[in-house]
Amino acid sequence: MTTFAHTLRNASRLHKVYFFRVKLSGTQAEFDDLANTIRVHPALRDFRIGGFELNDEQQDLTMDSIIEALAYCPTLRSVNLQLTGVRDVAPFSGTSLAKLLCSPYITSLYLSRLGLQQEHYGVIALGILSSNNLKTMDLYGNSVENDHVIMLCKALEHNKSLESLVLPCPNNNELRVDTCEAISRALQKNTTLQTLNLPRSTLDDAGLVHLVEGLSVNNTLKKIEVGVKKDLGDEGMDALTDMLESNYELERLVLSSAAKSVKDKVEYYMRLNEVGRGSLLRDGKASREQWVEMLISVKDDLDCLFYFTSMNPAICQFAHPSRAEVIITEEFRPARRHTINNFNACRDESATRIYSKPRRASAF
Amino acid sequence: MVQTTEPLSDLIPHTHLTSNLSRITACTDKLRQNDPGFVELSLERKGDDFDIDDFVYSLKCNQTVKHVCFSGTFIRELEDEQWDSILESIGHLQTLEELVRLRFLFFLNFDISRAERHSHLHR
Repeated sequence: MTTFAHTLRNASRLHKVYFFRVKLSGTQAEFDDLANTIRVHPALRDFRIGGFELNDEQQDLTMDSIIEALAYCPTLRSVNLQLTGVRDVAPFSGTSLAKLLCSPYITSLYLSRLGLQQEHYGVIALGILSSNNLKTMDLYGNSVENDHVIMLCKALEHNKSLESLVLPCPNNNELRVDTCEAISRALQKNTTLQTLNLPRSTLDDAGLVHLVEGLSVNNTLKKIEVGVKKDLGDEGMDALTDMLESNYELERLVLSSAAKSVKDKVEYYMRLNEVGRGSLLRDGKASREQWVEMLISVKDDLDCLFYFTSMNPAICQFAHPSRAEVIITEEFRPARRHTINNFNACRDESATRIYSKPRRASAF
Repeated sequence: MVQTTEPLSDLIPHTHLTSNLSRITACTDKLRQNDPGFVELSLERKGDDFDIDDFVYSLKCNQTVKHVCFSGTFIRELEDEQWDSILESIGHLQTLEELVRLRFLFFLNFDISRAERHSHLHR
């Protein structure tokens, strides 16, 4: 620990520290010394210790001073702490974590597999509620109860800065229905979140119905990952389909453990969103040229082609040179002996009359 | 060892670092030369002729390296005291900007959260 502090102190240009699987050993005084070094470091921007462990005999040692120092380091933007080893409780208090969450400098906070407890979740909820600059938070792999998730979701309703959030899943991997309701409400009210992950969750029909209700209203979320039961019923599937039909913003929806047919359906709609169906369907005012451009852009994807043509069958009609709403087709018809003369006669007599009396296209 | 002006974190996900110099003596020589173009030190293996004192001395002499990465067997075979010595000598690198210590190179992405990871993977 002393050596690390010494190195940090000397390396005044050091802006990234990535350590993976390290053993942090030292006395409390040495930890505090490292904290003092971090607090005043002039360049440190990215501090990541993934998979650290403390020695067995260090059970009384706390990292509060280091956590607080990270909060006060003016150049620091990203902090990643991940615990491994014998400890199953985060070696710092809710008080120091509160300071880290309120840091005016940090924008990304990765606290996965850190042994967070009840006191930490309360603080994190408050942090989410009040933070104006935290954009990314990862709480994956921490032990959590459904009530904690509900608390975090209530805070998320009012948050205006988070763009990416990974929520931990309750120990039994099942999100209760009221938890899903809380997530749904958060999605309906939050307007900044772009990525939400609920890894290792297992939603049943009722839970999925609530979740997609939130997704139907939300129009900022781009990516979401959630686990569902493999044998989803009609209720869940219908709700999911309705949401997929109406949500044009989602770019990635991962339903872990879902049946292949469900995944295929989701993938289909995500492809449609990716090519930009929202630009055509959102307000219903897309021009014919926009539709045609879309058809050209998806010409190699039969599924997409079918979707767009079925959404607007009129696009199959030939365009009138003078931009008539309905399109004339005579001049493109294959010539038949008994129609040629008639057609030519019409043209000779009054070419404009043809154009002024358009007819619907017919297959040929 | 890789010689580049690119930041290590940008380089590693796209590059195989199996091209490390097998002879640690070449590495220490390079460190002592203080070539301004030599900004990145990445060590994956110790090699048979690894001399901790020589390596530490070379690190202390260097004034060019900005990015340092230790990984693979180099880390696994290192004793705690040797790591302390190296870490201490790295503190003498006035030019140091990035310090990475990984067990396996592919764990460099450990820092990317699940949220980010998915968005990156499936983009």
